[in-house]
Amino acid sequence: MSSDQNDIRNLQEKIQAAKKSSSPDTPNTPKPIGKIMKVVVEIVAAMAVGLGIGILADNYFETRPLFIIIFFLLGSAAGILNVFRVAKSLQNN
Amino acid sequence: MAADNPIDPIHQFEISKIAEMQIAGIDISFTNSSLFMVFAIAATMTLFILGLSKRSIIPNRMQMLSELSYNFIANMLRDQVGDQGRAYFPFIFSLFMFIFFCNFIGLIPYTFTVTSHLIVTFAFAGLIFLAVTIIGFMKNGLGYLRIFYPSGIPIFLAPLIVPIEIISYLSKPISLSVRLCANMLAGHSILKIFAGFIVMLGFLGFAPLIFLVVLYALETLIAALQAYIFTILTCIYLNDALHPDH
Repeated sequence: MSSDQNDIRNLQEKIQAAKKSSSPDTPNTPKPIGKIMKVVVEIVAAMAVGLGIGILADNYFETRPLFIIIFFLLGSAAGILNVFRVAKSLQNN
Repeated sequence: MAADNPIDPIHQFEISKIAEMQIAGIDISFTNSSLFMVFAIAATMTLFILGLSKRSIIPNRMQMLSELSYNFIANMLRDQVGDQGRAYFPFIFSLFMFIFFCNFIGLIPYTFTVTSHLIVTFAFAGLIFLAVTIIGFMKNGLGYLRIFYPSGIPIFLAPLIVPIEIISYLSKPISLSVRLCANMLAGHSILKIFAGFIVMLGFLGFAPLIFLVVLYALETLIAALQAYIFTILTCIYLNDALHPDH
């Protein structure tokens, strides 16, 4: 009889330990590798878009390199803004 | 040059035509890329047809897998978008399963990784971007343009902030597609390069072999993770379109 109760107690402890190790917030938070990769890509993508718009505008107005400079700077700013947002969402999680 | 060298880590990304087809001068040949897309769809359908054919109360493994993946995406969509996102569940779910299986089939030796080509991932990301923009304008009208001008910003800063916000918005499909493609491309190249080291080093090859096993485990993680990230970012963009005020 007492050995049964011991068994049940042991099982209870095991369940508790298992519950602790799989804390409830783990499934929804992505791993840091993905997050870092995300940040790097955000900067590059925004710069590329800025540069692309600059090149198109310059080809259209024939003012090279005026718009390339302007839009590359704006693109860099947008990249920082993207990183800022990712960092914010990281903190919220 | 590549043909002379038996160790060629880039060869795995080559497109080869299986059945040549042309319509009005446009090449629409059935390639190995198309073949593995078909495989990914077949794998998804097999999982769900086999898994859900019995519908027992105590599920077997296949049924568990299909129900778990369904719940996973349904929960993700509910957390990120809320109840309004339910209408888009079929799309998000198909997207996740397709990318997931493309990534995983690509991990099997001698297969082709569809998602390692930028044009494939960009086609996805570009379509998602267009769809999300159209949904945003349909749900909010011209008020959707507010996302380019965050509230609480003085009017004299608008000429600076608005272009930055527009570029930030336009960079979404590029970052989305480049992330998935770069991860797959880099991961698979590294796997093949280290596999080449094993052959080249002969007896000493056991050292890169151990490393390769570890790397392969990491690649498996990344394959799942990238499918997850692609899907969750789609959900986040969808949420921005449905609720531009947040």
